[in-house]
Amino acid sequence: MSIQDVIEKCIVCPGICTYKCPIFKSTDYRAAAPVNIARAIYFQEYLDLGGLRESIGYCTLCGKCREACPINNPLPEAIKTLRKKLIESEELEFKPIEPAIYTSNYRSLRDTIRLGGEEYTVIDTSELYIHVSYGYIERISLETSYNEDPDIFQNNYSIELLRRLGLKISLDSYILHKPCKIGWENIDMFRDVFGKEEEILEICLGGGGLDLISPNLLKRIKSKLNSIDTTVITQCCRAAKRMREWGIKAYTPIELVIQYEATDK
Amino acid sequence: MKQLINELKKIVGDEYVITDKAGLIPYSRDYNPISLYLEVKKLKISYPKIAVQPGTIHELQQILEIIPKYKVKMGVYGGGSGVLQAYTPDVDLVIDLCRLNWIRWYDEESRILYLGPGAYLIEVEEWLGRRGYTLGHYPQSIHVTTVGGAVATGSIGMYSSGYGGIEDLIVGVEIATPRYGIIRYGPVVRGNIPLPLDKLMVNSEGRFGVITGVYLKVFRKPDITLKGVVKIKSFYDGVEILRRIIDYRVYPHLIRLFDEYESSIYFHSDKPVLIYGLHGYNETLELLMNWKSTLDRIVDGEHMDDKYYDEWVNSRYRYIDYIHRLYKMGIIVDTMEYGVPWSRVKKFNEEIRGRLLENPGIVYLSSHISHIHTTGCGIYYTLGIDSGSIQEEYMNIWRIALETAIENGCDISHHHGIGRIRYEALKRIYGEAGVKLIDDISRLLGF
Ligand code: SF4
Ligand code: SF4
Repeated sequence: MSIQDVIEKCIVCPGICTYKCPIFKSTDYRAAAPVNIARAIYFQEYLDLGGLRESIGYCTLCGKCREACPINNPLPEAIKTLRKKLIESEELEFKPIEPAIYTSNYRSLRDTIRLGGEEYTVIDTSELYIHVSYGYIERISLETSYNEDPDIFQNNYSIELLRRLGLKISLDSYILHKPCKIGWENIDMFRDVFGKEEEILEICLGGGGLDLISPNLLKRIKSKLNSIDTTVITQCCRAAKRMREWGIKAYTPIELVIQYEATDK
Repeated sequence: MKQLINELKKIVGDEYVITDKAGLIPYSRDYNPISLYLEVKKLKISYPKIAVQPGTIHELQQILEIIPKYKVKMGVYGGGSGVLQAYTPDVDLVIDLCRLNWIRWYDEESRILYLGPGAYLIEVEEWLGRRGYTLGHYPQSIHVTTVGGAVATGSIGMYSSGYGGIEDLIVGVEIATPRYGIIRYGPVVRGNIPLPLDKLMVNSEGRFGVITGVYLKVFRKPDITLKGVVKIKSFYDGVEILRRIIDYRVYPHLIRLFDEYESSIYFHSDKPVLIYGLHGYNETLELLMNWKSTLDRIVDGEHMDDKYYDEWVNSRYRYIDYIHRLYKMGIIVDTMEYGVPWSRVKKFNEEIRGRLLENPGIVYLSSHISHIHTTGCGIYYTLGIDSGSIQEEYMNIWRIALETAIENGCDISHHHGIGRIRYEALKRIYGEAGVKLIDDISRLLGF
């Protein structure tokens, strides 16, 4: 399928995937929704590059639109290709952001598990380097698209370890933050450890560096979250940190385990 | 305009006032096929001048209060899934309700849910689903329809005979108006008062107020769905069966009779196919089984495998591929639906088909009946229009179809609303006085 074909399908579609896009959901900025990114690309001769760059730049390539799309239209791949082209032709500025590791304090995890006197297997978290460029979150160590390969990815997560150890932490209620790519784990892993969530929050909190690109988007995200007073469990350590700065009780699973162990012992 | 932009920014904050073209592109049209066609062909791309996204009802009210001062044309944007140009970009200012997307309050015992107008129906349904409930409201546009939009256009879903249309689900509403401020009504059980606001807002298309909150009924999510797929001798035999189902009051939650064309596409059948689905609970299994066997008896024909029911439900949202393929072949798809009294189904159906097919621009025409009522049914037509003649013929096609509907005593709209496309027809069925009444009420409220 040509890029043109992918984009054309989106522009005749009302945007069935829109409500799944973490950027739209976290910012309410319609131009960043998948269908409108496709339209921005299609109508680029009518738009100033600034605006176009914004739309194409915001996409995290998480693949949620493709997953939700009834025809599995590979829009993220089309955006990725176009973005690369724009960067190569210097029409779009490449904005590297320091690579980050998306697990919490790894030593704490080991310590926690040791505290419980459990056997453990180390899962190689070097697989978890996430490269961030212009809001473009990409695993550099695993070549296949996340969409096609959820099993490999989910097993890399510490939560899976906790589950295998049979650890259970009961919380009165919690909201599960399940954002872009890093939120694609099997949800049962969380439920097995923490019980059933009250709600699932599927919006991006700027963990991937979106805030560095657009402070305005960050403001949009913040104003959306004002009213949360339940504990939030997130797999994204940057999101957890940011939410705490905003006064929300947000933790990564490991942080919660550490807290739990500390109060329990 | 500059002063208006500044004032809007003061109300909602800089980032929620959009004035650049890329930011405004989402507001360039609704999902009307001719608007879509002109845009895709790059023949007409228009934008409003400003889009504003209020984050609270109070902000929205403030916006409504300042607008009259600037004498600008205003539009309201929900999910953009309307097909009749109720929303067009020829406005100066569009109020986008997407930030009012909360699920605010849930009385689980009374099964009443309070929602913001910008909440997507699909998200509400998923939220309820996690708690074991459902709205039972599944229009084809569920992924792109907002709660406010569903009310403002009089939406109906595929399980309408089980759960009703939006008019049956709504039990209260809150609206913002320039002149009367915010008015709230409900939630009610039946609400026996003059001018119940919730009913007034159904299919109001933004005329009487901007919807800021909606109370909807909620149902326990069914544990079981029993299904039937039956080949029927002829389309009109199928219509007779539908009438019998209505007479005996044994209507299932989903019922749909496809004509020969659609049956061959969806079920590879050479005859019309009727499908039905019954929702029920483990506790009432016996009742459900009896109900199903009664229906199986009434629906006379060749019973097919249930799997076709699921296949159809699952393929229902794949229409993008279909629209795109036809578009590549130079064919534009449009849809129209009419409420038809049982006594006129045959006459109307034959006439509208005959008259539409006389137009050389129409290269494809199929239909199905997807909603049944005591007095009649909703017939839904899918048209393929040759893109070579669409610009000249589009309004002609609609005029012919609407005239046929009016002559046959049918409703000019079953669930897509009026918009701009059906406005002239509205004048004909309601008369000058009726339309003036609508306009006067709208003006009275400050619009
Ligand atoms: S990705 Fe699929 S659902 Fe989303 S806009 Fe494109 S065609 Fe529509
Ligand atoms: S890949 Fe993700 S961020 Fe990009 S448009 Fe699709 S859903 Fe949105």
